[in-house]
Amino acid sequence: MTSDVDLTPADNLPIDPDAAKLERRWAGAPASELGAIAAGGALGGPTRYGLGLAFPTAPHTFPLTTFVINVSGSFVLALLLVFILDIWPPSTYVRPFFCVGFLGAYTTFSTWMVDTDRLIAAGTWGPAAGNLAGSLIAGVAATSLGLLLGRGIAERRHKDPPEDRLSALATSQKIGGRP
Amino acid sequence: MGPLVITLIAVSVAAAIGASARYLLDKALTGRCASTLPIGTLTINITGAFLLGLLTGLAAHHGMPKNALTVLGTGFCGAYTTFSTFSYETMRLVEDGSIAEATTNVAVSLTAGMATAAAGLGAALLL
Repeated sequence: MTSDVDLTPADNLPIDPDAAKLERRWAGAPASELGAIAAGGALGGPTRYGLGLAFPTAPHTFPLTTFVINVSGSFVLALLLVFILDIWPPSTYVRPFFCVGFLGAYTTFSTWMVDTDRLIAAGTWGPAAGNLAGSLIAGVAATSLGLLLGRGIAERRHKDPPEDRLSALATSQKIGGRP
Repeated sequence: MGPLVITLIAVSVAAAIGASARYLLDKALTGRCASTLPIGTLTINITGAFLLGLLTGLAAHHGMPKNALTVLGTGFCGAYTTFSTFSYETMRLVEDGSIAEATTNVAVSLTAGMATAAAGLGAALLL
């Protein structure tokens, strides 16, 4: 579709100084990148909410659902970042959509804090301490595991790139060997 | 549309706004401070913890509708704050050998996060 209306503002039109300031500050954040983040967040938030509905935890008990969400999200983020930075070809929207948008919204810090405070307020010290320390330790461990696994895969790929493997496969089939 | 579908859509919209707000604020703060500490995520998580504490308190003591808590708390605050980036940034500091910064990041996030969440819950009681 073409438009016969000239959508570019004329040079002599007054420019809102605040708008110009905003534009300058967010010059590095293209609207499409922000759109990818919003779209990822629009999926990650309801996923967390849905899991909370499907697996509710009783008040004054260990909030297992949020714990599993946060730990699993940390593992996936670390693994995904290795793939994005070291394995996959550069892309514009994968990181904003999956990492900043989806996983950022899927995992939550505020619920972790408020849940811990409420467990303390209820005098349930065991679950409170378990939630605070357990989430931290499991979250960092899951991140390490994601990085380790991702780097292991990256290393194998660098040592044995897919193209070489394909040609090796073709050769071995030609001479009747097993790939 | 059933009430669950409407709530899911509202949570989705609030989460989209929360995630976008996190990105924009992180970008603005990280660009401004030359600190090794992930000051953007730190600020976001601490302010989000206060807001969720306040909303939780308002729902518990001031009759704020449960749906409002779901949309603003679970949707917005949940998506605005993030655990995965917190874990990742902490691990990156450890790998860079910045053990002191990693420890500071964890200590400040947890103490300030719990304190501001409690302040939010307390503020709702005083209102």
